[in-house]
Amino acid sequence: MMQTRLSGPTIAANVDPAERQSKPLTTSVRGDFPLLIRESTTGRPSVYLDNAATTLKPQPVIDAISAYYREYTSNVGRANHQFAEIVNAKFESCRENVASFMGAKKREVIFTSGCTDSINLASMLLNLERDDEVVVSILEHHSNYLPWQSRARVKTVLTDGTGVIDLDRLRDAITPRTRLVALTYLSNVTGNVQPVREAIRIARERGVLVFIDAAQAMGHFPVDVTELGCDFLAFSAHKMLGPTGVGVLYIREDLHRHLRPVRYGGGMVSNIKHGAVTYRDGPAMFEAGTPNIEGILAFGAAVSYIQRLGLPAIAQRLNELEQYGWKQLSQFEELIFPFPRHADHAAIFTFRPRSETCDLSFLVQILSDTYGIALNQGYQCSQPLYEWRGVRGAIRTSLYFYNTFSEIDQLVDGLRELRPFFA
Amino acid sequence: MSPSVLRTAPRQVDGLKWDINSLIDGIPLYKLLYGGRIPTFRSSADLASALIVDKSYFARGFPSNWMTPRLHAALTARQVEFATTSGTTSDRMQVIRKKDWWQDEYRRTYRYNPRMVDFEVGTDHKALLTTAICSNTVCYLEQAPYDDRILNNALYLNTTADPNQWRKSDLERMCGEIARFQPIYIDADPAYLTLFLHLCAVHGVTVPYPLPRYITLSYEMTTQFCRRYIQARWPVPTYDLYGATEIGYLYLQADDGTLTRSRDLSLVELAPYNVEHDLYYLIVTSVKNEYMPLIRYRIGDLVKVPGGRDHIAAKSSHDDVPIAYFCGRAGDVRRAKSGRPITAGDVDHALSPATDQVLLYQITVLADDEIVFRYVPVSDQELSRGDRETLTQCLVDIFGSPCHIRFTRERAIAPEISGKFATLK
Ligand SMILES: Cc1ncc(COP(=O)(O)O)c(C=O)c1O
Repeated sequence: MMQTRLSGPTIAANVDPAERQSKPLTTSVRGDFPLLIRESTTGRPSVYLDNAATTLKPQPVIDAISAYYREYTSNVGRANHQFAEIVNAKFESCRENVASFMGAKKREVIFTSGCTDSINLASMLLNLERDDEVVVSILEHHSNYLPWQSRARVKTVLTDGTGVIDLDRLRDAITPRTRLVALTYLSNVTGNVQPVREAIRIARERGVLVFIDAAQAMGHFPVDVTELGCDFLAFSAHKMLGPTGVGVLYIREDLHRHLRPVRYGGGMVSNIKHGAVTYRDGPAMFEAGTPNIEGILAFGAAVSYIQRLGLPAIAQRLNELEQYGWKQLSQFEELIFPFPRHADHAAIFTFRPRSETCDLSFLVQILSDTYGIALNQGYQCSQPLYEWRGVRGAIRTSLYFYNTFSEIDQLVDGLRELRPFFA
Repeated sequence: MSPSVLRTAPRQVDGLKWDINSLIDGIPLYKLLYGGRIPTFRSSADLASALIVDKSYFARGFPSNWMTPRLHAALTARQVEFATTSGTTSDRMQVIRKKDWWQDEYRRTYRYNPRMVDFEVGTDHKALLTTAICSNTVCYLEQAPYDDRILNNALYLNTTADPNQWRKSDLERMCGEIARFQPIYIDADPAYLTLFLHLCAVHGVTVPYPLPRYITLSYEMTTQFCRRYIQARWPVPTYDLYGATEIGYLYLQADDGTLTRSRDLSLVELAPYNVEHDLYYLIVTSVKNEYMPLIRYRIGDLVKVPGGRDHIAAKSSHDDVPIAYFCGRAGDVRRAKSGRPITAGDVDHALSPATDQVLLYQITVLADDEIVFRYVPVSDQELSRGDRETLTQCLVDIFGSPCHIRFTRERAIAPEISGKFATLK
């Protein structure tokens, strides 16, 4: 697909001159994101720092959606007319591409409507019983807590002093009744990367299956499911440049034969004769009905975009933003960072004013309306963690590779000016 | 919109009761506005030399545009509270004001109505029925308990984002709470109160007795359909109350239906929008909020002033000019084929005599001669052919012919993002 490059003076203006020399990645990509070069209503450049909620979309992703509507609308896997041929080929090549992106086999990639949907689907497939135990960490997003809690007994493992899951406690939490360990790879609140490799090893030694919620990790650094050795892994396309309404559930291939479909509909059977049903194997068995075709094609475009930039380069850029962000934000004595910052920490900073009475929503509104900065405020769907730490909500700033040092500075300037509001 | 000079200055010759210059002294926004040369305002006539300013300008650069040592000190001493006007990012405005500012504003305003003058603010019971408040400090959405929703002896009844979604249990809860709290006064959004009474009737939920002594209808333009419906079910004195978060109240209705200016710390000007059709912008100078005095603020709403030109010429102050009704936002004005402006208020006044079978409505102008009239009926029936014909005639008279009107009966009309209901889209 042709990649449209929108470039203009705004881009240059948004990028720190020092960075322009040393960080080719950022400068070269900003023009691809229409929202980054749009004129803002505040008179200042728009700064998008709510990437952990969803990322912005580059032009090739937008183009992929509209190309499906404009050039080759068709259902997938159900016809062989001209458009269908194009769509079938593109669709399966997306699956191939996504599989290779995450170190999986094509057959192991199941398309869903998002990370939450993937987790729910897995929880149904596992056929859990009330007395079964699922071990999670205190860091889980409600999406990786509620689906398990609604079907089984959930045991929550706390973090250690450095902000990651306490592996000794994890070891202790596993009992003969444990069916699954379900962990986040990267906390959407604290930004700490979890020691999932070790956790997977511990669980496997005890013969327990492992589910990884990689919503925040995918597209941020290389993730290879085969190397990790997990049994399930889930993520959403929209948190890595793709559209909403698309997600992936990875299921290790040798588990497929132990699982029965839980959703039924078109596209999943090879034949029905005299009422006897033979299901197709591979992902089709789990993907009943017409999928979100245009979304998946656009997701493919997002993956290609990331691959072109290279995950190591993205990871390095995020690391630089993390270092700079921490240096700048941690200067504020009036702010507290309620969760420890681990050595392996993503560019996600969650903080709140020391003052208990400060109205966070008002603060975030001013930062948006006056300073043009989009942030997140509240509990980020992780109330157990907040409750445990006794914290009444916080402001979260989360960066992606297209963010710049000067955008962090813009946030810092805003906070500085708003000091009287939270000091 | 950028500030502009109003050509027709109000003929106001009285001395100003407040010293505007000292009130705005040091406020960066005014320094910016006047490039450091702020005119001297000795009398209200002097205001004519001030610039007229729209909300977007006042909203810009908050809080630094308002920061003075006084505000800074008040902030540090935690003597202030915050609010945001409704609207999306592009037209919302942050407001900072003295703590419990509304309590003072209620006291100032209720004095203008002989029945409400006795209401003891903070002591007497009042209930509010409007959008469910939700901010970081208070959230009345979902299951906020009764006790948590009482603030200064005012009970916030609604806990649902969209009043169309009120279920029988919500209505029973609200009725139960009214019975328990016994407010003598209910302040309501007219569309919310209409839906409340209507849905109570539909679900057979008994509305508690005794009724409040009086009602004010606020938060959005009261349609005549809503007013009639409410009055028929709750026959108590019902007054329109006009105001906004950033300015407080400006008008309160009297028993005879006239709108009384609640004049404290504010001054209204009527600036021509379309004199031929008696339409005027409401412009206010309000110093009620000491930290954010608004000088010549064009609120964006229009009012109908029959014989406006003569009235304005005859009165020494625009505050004395009688207003017939509120016409809604200038931004929502449509044009008839003749080019004549059509306001939400004008449409409402033209339509309401046609039928009493409409509860809520929304008019969408699709193309030049195609109009959709969506409505929620009072009874479970479609509008009769007679009602449709009368309404059609009214709409054709307003919009001009040829004009095709399509009626669609709705179960519900969704509120806008702000929680308010648009009648003209
Ligand atoms: C760690 C984590 N898991 C799961 C989710 C749920 O993702 P989605 O809402 O896209 O299904 C999120 C979203 O914020 C997340 O951050």
